[in-house]
Amino acid sequence: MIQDAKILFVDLTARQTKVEIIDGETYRKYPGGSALGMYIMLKNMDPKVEPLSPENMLIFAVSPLTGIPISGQSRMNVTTKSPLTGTAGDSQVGGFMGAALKSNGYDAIVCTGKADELVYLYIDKDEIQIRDAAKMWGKITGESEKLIQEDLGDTKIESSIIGPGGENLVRYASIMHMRSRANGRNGVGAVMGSKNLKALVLKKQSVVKAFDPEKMKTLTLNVKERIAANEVMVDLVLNGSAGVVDAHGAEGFLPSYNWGKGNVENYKNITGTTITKTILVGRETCFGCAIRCKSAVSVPGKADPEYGGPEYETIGTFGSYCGNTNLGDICEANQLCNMYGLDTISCGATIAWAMDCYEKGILTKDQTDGLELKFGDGSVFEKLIKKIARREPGIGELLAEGSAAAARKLGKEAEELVVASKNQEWPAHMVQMKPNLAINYAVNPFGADHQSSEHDPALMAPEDNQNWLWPNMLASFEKCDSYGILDANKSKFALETQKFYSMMDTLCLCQFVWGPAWQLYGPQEVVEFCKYGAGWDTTIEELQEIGERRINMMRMFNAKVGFTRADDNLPSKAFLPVTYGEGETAQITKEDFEKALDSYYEMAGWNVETGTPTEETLKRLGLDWI
Amino acid sequence: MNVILNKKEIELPSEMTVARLITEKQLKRAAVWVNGAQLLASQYESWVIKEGDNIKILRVVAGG
Repeated sequence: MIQDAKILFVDLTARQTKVEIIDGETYRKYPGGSALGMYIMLKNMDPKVEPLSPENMLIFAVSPLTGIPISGQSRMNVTTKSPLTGTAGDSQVGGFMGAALKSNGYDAIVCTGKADELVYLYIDKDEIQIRDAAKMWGKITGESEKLIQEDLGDTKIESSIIGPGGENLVRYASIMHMRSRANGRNGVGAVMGSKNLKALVLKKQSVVKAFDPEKMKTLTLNVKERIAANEVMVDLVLNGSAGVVDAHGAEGFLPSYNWGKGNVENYKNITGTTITKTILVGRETCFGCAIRCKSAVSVPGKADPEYGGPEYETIGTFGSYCGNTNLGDICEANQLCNMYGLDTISCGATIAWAMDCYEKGILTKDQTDGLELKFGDGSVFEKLIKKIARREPGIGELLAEGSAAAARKLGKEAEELVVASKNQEWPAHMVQMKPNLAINYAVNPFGADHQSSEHDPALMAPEDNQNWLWPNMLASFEKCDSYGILDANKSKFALETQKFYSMMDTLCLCQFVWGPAWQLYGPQEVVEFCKYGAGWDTTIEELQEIGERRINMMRMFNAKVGFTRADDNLPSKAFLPVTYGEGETAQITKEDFEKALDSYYEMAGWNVETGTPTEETLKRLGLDWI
Repeated sequence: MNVILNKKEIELPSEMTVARLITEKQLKRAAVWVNGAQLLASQYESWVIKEGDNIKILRVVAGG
């Protein structure tokens, strides 16, 4: 059995709050994160609302597992309608907000309306205040955090804050926590800005207790040995997510030059190994986590450790995407995005797209405020990021819309260079190497996302390796022995692992710690965590269905907006050949993609023509109320 | 001895095991096929490569 969920509704227009309870039986079907967020949105909001209007909801949610001391359980989800994609929106953040929200007694906070002036929301259990934030207008995240601490006379708080990017409604604005952790994707920061909500601030409280603390020790006591026995974890501890640059660069699948190539010369300048050896000054952690993968770097004059360090994706977008291997410029861009509240993936990818346009003469110096946007030149990042965050007329205003919307203003040639799905710029994992991501990037309800299914190399792992054994606990898969293979097996892999990742986004689990392949804890251990942590006696099958239910709710939300199969597409660059290794080529074709998409829809129980869940599927998942 | 590694002919010392080859080539988290058959990870230490073997090694690269 799962406890009831306590939901705080905050009407920013009327400055009124109320608490509602969702009973445990219902909560078990939508147990937290964006599943809970989608349940609340579909019950209370017309999916056709304008994303930046007061009618949109902004929901911060956790799960029955959040805050229980074990690695990888303190993510906080934000659900809303995305101003970047126009779809159901979803973004997760690590750090300490999730645990703080739960220990204040809430499972979700639902913000509606729009405050008449800039405010922040302060919560200390039942004490809820909507406080003036006018003096924080235009301030970067770090300064705003200090002003909030001064205003409250208290440093024992956790906060999620928007920067100028969110205030100025940049369509990929982030919500920042601890100056270095981001609800980055889907433009959730712009929705927060549209509500005149500068920050959500939570008083730190006592740690949440597990249902069965003794049994929890079977998962926690041997954590050091678990980490030492797992090669990926060892690398994560040493190099953070940046270690993926080493692997993708060596293999030849590091998206470069706005996805025109699979590598950039001198990629070793920007690897995780190089960062660890040269500019790393520390590793930070999230609540209760033993891995400590978050980097803090120092590059004098460019990057200060308080704003963290670049993750793999950021090194990709501001590095290889832009043909840039100057680590200092990447770190500076990362810091500026964290200060101004912009998603580093969409921001870097949009700049890379602009560089591609400039190199091809589609964008000229007259349109870039005199800036030369050449591949390889990271010195333009500082000016561009500030112009974007402030929506300065000219190149700032253009790029603040994201690459897809900006391209529509420039015409067909520019649109051909966009690498996005549902308007969301692609993360740095090449579909030629990992073709199941072609399916995932296309069908994922909130746009391209690298954390919504397992990656294909698990299907290449030896049969006595956990990378092979764990996914096969979810379903039976066929082996794969080369890159560029996109078939029904990959569709099945995309679907079944997507359900698992969707469940993790529901339970607000970190996907570097919990997962179906290379992570610290696998599928059976999620079941054990539910039982020992929350007293919830569940199965892998129930967890898979929870993940599937969330995906189907999002697809139904999107269908009501008007999204169809035609929106489950890939950009032209997805079909380019990539040369890797000793001159070998990997490529996926449009024909293979369409066939694999058909297979995916059939297995998912969706109409193959429209991409919408069938009535039978909705009934099976208990979603016939939508 | 001469073998083919990832479609390229290379020379290796005799008595070379798969595990040693992986270490020398710095191929972390490798999946290995020898003459078309995939090895178990538990075989890497003891599997001795032979003259003329056709070897394929791919990295099992995780997400990030």
